[in-house]
Amino acid sequence: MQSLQIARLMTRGAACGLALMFALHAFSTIAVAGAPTTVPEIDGGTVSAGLALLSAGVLMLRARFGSK
Amino acid sequence: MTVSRALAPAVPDASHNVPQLGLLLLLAAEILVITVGYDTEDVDRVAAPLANLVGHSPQLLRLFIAISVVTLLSGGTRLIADALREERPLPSRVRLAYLGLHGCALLLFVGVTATLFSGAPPVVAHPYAWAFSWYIAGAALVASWAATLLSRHDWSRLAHAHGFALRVGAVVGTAVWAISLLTRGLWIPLARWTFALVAWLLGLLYPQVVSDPAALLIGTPQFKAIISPECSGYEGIGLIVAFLSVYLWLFRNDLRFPRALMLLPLGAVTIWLLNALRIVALVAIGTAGWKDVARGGFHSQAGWLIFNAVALGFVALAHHVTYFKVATRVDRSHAEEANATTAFLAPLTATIAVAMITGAFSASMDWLYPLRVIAAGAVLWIFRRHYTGLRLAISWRAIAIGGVTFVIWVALVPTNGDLGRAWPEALRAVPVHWAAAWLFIRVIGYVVAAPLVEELAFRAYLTRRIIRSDFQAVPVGLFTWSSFLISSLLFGALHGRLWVAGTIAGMAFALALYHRRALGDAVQAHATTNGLIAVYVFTTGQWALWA
Repeated sequence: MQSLQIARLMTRGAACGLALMFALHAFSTIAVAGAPTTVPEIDGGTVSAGLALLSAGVLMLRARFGSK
Repeated sequence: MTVSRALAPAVPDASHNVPQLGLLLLLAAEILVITVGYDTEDVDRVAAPLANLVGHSPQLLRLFIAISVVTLLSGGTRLIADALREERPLPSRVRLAYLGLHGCALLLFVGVTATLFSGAPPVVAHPYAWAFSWYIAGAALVASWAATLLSRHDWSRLAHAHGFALRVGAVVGTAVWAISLLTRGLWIPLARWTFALVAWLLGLLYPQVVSDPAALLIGTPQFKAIISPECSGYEGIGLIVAFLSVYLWLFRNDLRFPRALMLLPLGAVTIWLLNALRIVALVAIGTAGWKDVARGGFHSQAGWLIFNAVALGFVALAHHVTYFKVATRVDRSHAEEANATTAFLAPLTATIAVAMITGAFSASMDWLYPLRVIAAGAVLWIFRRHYTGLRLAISWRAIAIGGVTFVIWVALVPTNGDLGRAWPEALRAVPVHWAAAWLFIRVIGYVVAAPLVEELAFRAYLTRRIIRSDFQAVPVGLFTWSSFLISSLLFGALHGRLWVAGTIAGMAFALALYHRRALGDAVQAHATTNGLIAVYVFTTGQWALWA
């Protein structure tokens, strides 16, 4: 029983570590996104439309699938 | 309609926090004006290590943003609510004195910045003194702002109550910032992997593929593209992992952990693969003869479309697949709220999505604009029964507000953009009946569809959603400072580079709504403004106003 709990803790720890690593990696991208690019993958000129679509989409999906 | 259920507000009402909200806006505006107005690269001309540190000040701003975001995420809404609640409010006289001090600090900081960044002879002669003064003036600016915002007692209360969130923010935020500098080295290897995948995919489609691995150049004899590090998929991976991380944290109670964490690597791999397909599609479009479309609209829109598709797809996956979600009971009121949310937001979502898709297949002129109007009209028609109680009676007051907003818009929006040249040239190049038909639909979309779609999303939905998560329990047109300011700012943000004019217009349309609590008044004010802009464009030829 104790070993099972330890295994669960280790799994959660590894998963959290993985999540943190990815989150750090992701934020790091945003943090350096100020550098000018001529052919961007994510175009800064259309950021308002892109984020508006994302926000409205998330609100609709949350209303449909989320818990109260 | 009356407020029937006592649910917690989505954002605390800011009726008693106008000074705090105003000061937050002031700080944001100051940062924006200073960062846009002065280029830190100019300091490179000053040959002194301390002065050169000033040139790296954007890194300090990024560090501040990283720490703030992580602190807010770990502190949650309780931190925001506590920050807006003053236990010992500053007397107005004292707050005004601190505000005056902040004004002086701002003038000093701008003065020192302008001199330092100009590389004038006094700076070259005494670089250390000027750099040191710059740091002191910057610290005075921040300190005077903090003193104006809250009393010493409230700052210490906040630090004591949210010490854990602040420590997490400081440690994790600094780690994020530091890793951001270190991971730049990964850009090139990722670009090489993307290059290899794109080369393989193009080989399946075309008999002859042109490639130069050293220059990361790939394509066909007709059209070639360089996979720069920024184009390698790194931005998309970063954005999707950031989005999903924040999403998993905010909605952690609805999801099964650690299973839900699998969404992070899955999202990263998915968006990287789709980015490779985006580059293949870019080459295919260029090879087919539409080089302007490939270099123009497709390149700028496809990345956002892919990011939105993956982000929303993974949110749906997280809540639809029982492997990831916690079992929840869906009751009747929940289903009604879901339908109402969709009814108010779907017209805007459909319009933006179609605009991005048509934009991806356009060069300089969006000839497919009529599809936007058709999409908006179709979605409005599908959900028409949800709009019956929104009162669409004529209001001269609303029309007058629309007129005043038009004057402000014309005064604030620059008229020398590229649009001013591109549109008339493109319209003259097609038969006159095509140009007339396109312009007619453009006017219908601008004066009828856009006001309906945007007012439903911002004034009918968002102003109420900000007050309560169960927005249907809030009457249309109920005023609170937080809903008024936040919805207007977001409306401004939707207008991109025209955000100042957009925010003022949003405030004006909200005022039209509040007078009679009728959404129709906001729609009329918005339609009047847009109609007058259309007339102004036709009579003066200032096409740039029609952005």
